[in-house]
Amino acid sequence: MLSSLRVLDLTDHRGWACGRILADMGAEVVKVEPLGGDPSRSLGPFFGDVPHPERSLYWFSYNAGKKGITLNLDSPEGAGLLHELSARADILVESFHPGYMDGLGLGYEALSQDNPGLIYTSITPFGLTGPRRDYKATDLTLQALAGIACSIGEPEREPLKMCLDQSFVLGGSHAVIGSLLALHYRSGSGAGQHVDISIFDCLMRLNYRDPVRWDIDKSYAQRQGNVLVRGRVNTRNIWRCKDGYVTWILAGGPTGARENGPLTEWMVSEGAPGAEEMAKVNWMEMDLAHIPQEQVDHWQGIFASFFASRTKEELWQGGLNRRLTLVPVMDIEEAFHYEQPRARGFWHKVEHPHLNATLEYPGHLFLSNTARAEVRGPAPLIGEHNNEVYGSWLGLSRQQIDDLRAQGAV
Amino acid sequence: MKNGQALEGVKVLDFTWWGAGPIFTKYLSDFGATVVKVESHKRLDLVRLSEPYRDGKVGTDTSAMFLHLNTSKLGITVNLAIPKGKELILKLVEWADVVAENFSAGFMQRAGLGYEELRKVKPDIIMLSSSCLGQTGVYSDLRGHALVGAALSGHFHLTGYPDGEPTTPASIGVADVFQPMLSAAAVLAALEHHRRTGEGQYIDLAQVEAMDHYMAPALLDMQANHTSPHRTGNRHPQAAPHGVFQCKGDDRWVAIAVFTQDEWRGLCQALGDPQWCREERFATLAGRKQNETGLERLISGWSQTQEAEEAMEHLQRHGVAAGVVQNPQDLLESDPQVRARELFPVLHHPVIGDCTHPAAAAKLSRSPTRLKTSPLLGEHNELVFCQFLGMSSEEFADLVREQVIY
Repeated sequence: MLSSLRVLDLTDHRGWACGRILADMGAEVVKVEPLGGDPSRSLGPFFGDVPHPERSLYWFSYNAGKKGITLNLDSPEGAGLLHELSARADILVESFHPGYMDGLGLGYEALSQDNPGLIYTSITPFGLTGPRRDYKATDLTLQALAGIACSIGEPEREPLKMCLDQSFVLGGSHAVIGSLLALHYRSGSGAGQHVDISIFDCLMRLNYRDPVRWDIDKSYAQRQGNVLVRGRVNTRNIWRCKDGYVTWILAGGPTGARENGPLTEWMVSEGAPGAEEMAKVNWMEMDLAHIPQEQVDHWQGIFASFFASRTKEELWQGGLNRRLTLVPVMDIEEAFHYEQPRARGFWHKVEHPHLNATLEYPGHLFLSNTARAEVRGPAPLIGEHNNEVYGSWLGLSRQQIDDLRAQGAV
Repeated sequence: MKNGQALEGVKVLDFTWWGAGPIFTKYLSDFGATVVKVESHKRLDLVRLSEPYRDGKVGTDTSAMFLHLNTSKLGITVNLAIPKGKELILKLVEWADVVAENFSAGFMQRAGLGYEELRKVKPDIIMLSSSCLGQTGVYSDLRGHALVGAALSGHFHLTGYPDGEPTTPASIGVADVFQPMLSAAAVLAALEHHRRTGEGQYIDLAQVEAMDHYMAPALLDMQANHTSPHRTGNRHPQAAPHGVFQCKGDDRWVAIAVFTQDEWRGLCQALGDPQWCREERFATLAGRKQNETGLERLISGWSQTQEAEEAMEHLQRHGVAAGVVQNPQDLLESDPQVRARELFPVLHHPVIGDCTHPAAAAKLSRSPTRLKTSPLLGEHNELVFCQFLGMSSEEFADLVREQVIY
């Protein structure tokens, strides 16, 4: 889909996902690393649990399908090379501290001189403007500041963050959107532009419910375990079953009628305690906005005992037979083996010759009748494509590249 | 096109409802695409009936939740259940560049509006279907919601206290936010592909697969190391301290993350170099990881004497990543970054009145967003049918009377 597109990727882990998604959609993405490799290669988990820049599974995950070159931006020759590369690029994406690239003479203003069509996307924790733009941040501190952590966890314990580095894949994905919006604008105007992606702003989009609730109701969802706060009442999101957990939501109206009706019938047929009483409720008429929390809790108690007496598999299959949205909470292994994505050919084997290993990656981003949008190969080794990229982009000969190597630029 | 919005001239026919679909088309509408949202009095986007309502008044146009997910869109009402309604929709398909839907798999085909049908009237249409499990496979017709993709990808499993249950936020459906980013990326790439080749396409995007991409490091870890990753609360294997610490006041907390030795020294200085900072057991990351519970207790001892905001500022001055656990009140009323970047501008909505609107999460220097409020139910019927499709006012009135436009 994006096969004519050339992308220079100067991000660390806070922006990797951007280039991965663009590469999956067919762009030629060149990861530009400092001479010793991207410092974020030091982030785990690692293949074989051995920390090493060529073994980071985090690196593998979000740099798959890119080409890799090394370039010393701090040397004049290196900076010159980046000028030349960017003159041939459609998109440059970077995640340095605000102002860092300007300091090297490699900011948007400088690079757009030679290439007015360049789309220059900066991914930073707080954006390029504002009083907190220079704050240090990690995934944890960003989820805290953005109001995500305040609604996760038990009331008597500390607020929690979402797993892994979700802020950064969120930021990287928004960088794709911002870059492609700018590409669309360029197709009409010929003009590139500077795209400012603040991970904090992106998290604000994730937090789509509570700021408006505060504005309207002066209330918000304080953490109270696994519930969804839905205005006046809370309903459970996650339920314990015999051998793990399932997710299911108590609702009223059409959804309630579709879900609670068949579920209570099932419970009645199996003689579940309290089920007879539930079978009499008119779920279509039930409106959670007018039901006291005690009543909701009473019903949920009856559902909870039923779920607790069954296994994940029993609930999943029984639910599927009745077209319920009653779904197991899968662990990582279960998610990996889950048959539905497998049936869709989702997992792609990627060879890692340097480790003599093959790993299965999340493959396609989506299916299309005409295009491929899927992982294209492993993440690059440090400097793996120096000869190829400097050759094909800049027309440099082996000798010239070796000279640059000797100067410490490559 | 100069200094217009990025997607000016792009026409989107939008059947999406609930969370994941509207959040996706908001990425297009906020940047200038003409997004026509199709509903009917018989089939509302049910988010219109989701709290909060202004002054608690329930109605089709009072939900601020709907407002937040549907900025900058146009609203029309067409009764899809009758043949004339379907005819009208096909005229709009001819008008559109992009059609988006997130019904359960198979619904559009049953309504006679599957990709093959749409393609007959508009050969180069771009159509995106987003669903929980995808359009193909054994269980594709599962009715989904915002929890499904997060449950089936391990996201919930990995979120939570190590000694507690898998955990979800109390405020949001996580997968409803992650999936739309890929939907938007897909449609923008498809527009680029169309520009170069003239070809449209059909895109089938599954929430669970989108979530798997966002869980990739854990999924590779499991394979490479034959482990089954488990939730770790706020802890990080390569940082200590890495947690959320209680401060003075009611439910006030500060998050602190220390990865490097420099950051550790900064933390010690910020805390006034207490004796325990010099203890051998905390000298290296390995030592701090080994004695993390004790370390967290000592830091809590300090943080409990601090105001959260002051602790954050103080730590930041010493080069330590720290952030207050802010709540929505903090975000809307006191966060200087939110204000400086105008993340919640106040716009007027004809029924709800003045209300915060969520700004777009990408700032484009040359083609900035121009945010507008959300549509009332059927607000733009006349604009869309008479102006966009060139329908006469008599025909329009007839269709309204016949409850085709309804």
